[in-house]
Amino acid sequence: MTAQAQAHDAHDGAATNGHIAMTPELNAMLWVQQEARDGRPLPTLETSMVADALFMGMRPAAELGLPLLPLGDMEHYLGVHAINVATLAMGLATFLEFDEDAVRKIGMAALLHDIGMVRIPADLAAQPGQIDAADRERVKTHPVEGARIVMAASDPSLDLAAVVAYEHHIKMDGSGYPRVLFPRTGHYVSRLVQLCDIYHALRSPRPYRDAWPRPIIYSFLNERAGFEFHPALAAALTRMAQQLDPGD
Amino acid sequence: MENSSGFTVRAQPGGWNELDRVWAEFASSSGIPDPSISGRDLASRINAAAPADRQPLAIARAVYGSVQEAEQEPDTAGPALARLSEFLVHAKPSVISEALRSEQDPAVRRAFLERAARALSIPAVLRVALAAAGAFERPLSAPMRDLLVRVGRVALTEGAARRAEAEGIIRAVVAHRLEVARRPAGEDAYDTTLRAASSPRVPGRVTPEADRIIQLALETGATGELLWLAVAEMIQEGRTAELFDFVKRAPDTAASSALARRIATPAALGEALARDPVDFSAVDLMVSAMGIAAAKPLVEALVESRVRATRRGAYERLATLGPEIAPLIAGRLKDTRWFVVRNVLSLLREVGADVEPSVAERFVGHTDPRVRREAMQLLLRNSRTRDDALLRCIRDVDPSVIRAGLQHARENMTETVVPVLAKRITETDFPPEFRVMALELLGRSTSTLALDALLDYASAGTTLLGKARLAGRSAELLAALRGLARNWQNERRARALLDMAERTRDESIRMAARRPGAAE
Repeated sequence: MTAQAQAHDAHDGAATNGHIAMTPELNAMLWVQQEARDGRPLPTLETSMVADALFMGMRPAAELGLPLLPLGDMEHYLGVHAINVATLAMGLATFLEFDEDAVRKIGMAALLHDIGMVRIPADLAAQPGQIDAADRERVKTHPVEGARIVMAASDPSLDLAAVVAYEHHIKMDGSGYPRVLFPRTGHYVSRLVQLCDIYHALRSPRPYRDAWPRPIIYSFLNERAGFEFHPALAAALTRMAQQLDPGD
Repeated sequence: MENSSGFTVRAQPGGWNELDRVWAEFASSSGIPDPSISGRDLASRINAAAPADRQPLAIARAVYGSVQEAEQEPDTAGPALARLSEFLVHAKPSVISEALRSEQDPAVRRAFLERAARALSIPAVLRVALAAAGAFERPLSAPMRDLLVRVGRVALTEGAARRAEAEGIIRAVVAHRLEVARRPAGEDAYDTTLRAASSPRVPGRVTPEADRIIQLALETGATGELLWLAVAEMIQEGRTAELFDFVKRAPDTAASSALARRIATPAALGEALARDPVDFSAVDLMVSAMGIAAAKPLVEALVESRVRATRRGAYERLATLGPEIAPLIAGRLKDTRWFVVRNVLSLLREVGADVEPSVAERFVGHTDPRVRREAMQLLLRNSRTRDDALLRCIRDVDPSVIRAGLQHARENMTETVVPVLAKRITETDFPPEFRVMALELLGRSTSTLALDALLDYASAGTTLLGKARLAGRSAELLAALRGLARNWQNERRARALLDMAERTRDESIRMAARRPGAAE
């Protein structure tokens, strides 16, 4: 299946809202984020349903597809980012032959990896690359905030989501953030989501820069493999992206 | 089996299809005598009826009962379930909601959703999902409805593989996720969480390790069911000590305090005290979190541990718990081992327990002097028994008991001890090391018995001419002179000895003989 066909599939049944296709999944994810932003309990049923629906949408036929949403306007960046990172993470997990339950659980974790950003002012959350040092420090609190939101959800199935929300900015060599009190290596799925997070951020245009060309992204990931990123995962993501998300 | 809707389902013998009977009753209650009416037609009739004429209880009986009965007759239930599915698809949502809501028991409702999700057609399951979400505890959000509809469309229109997957999603949502039992949040949710957890966490490639969850919670200050499940897992694996290590290293947050309280159980403390060596910094965390609840395992360790350091540590921590532990530890006085009784008596004293004299009096004649000493110490604290206990101490043969009595007398001197003291210092079994202390005490008395005793120690008899002689220099002499100088300056015999002492070249003797406060 071609990337265009997959993209079409992703928009199947969607209404357009400005520059963005409001799929039920995106709508639901934006609603989930708003609920968390308003301090209400994390809607885990809806989040899991989004993961289920995305998982189903990745395999319209026998072969795997990556129906990524176009970024559209920055207003919905957080929702689109969550959906696309989840799609990439579930794609990578499927690519690595995880079983279906594991793939869905990874999808759920990836959907919530940046949920802590709801506690950051929207203008910062939308463009974390062009902010001053003080605001950057505020943005860096989102993993802790995210872990707190997920932990407060009182849902035993969210253990991986809590860990990924917390660890997805901790690099292979222990650098990054947050600084942990108990030294430990990051969870495998945190590393997997981290790569998908970076990959999606780099392949997406921002107000202050264009999207990176795919070959540059691949080089970036693989040059840092081993000290920033998990090397086997970086290699696998590159292979998967070359096959399923080749770009222009 | 009867549910709270009053519907009773019993399979009837003789080949009568119970599901058909249920349907016939349902149709009849809706004014349709023909039991062969289709689901669609029956739904139309009920939809068209005025709300007041609808019979939600009858609909509930049919819906709940048919789904339940279908489990009993899986081989023959197909047509009946298809008929019911058709009815549900065509009935107004409000009709279904009203019927479902008439069942009050959440357990019955949950069981119904599970069965319905398995048994009914996908369109019917979706209708049930929408109706149940409105009728039960958990309202269905608009995004969730959209997602269900989206997945439902796939289930109804796509090829077999995708259809099966979509059906699986819908059935799972309805069966297991729709009516989530409300559970208490926070720390109190611990037991509920463990009971509610349908399967234990099995660490694997995607299930994070329990210690990772706990470390995360301590670093972020977050609590919740995930934390408590991970804690339960580590305790089950016998890793309580690691948990305490985490708490020790964590900042003082709500999470670390809650965790300390959670893991500080009598059983965990007992385990910690059974280790050799005991990690007393972890024990201190537990004791601090548990308060009086720590007493029982500490007493166990105090009584049963073979390791002296453990007993000592348990004793020290029990002593910090205050007099509330008295009822708990007093029962241990029945123990026949001397050290147990000694420790308990000592603890009762140290925590300031209000102990009945009879409790300690049982042990004043104990063969082991360490037990006697502790019993005496308790009696010495009580104004009613103090004098008696003091006399008993001074009369005792054991140095430690005598010392306890003398030390007490030094702080609470009473004239009642003077005769016994005056006698004891002359006896050969009175330990010499206590004579000075005894003479000091006698020196504070104005009793002539005390005077005689002091004179005896200050004097070395008389010369051939009958003149008093001062005893040779000794600690006892100095103590006796100090006593004479304090109270007997004007007594003739005392005065003679004091005068002699003041004329000696030995400065310490001269000082001892001087009236207290007098300048040299």
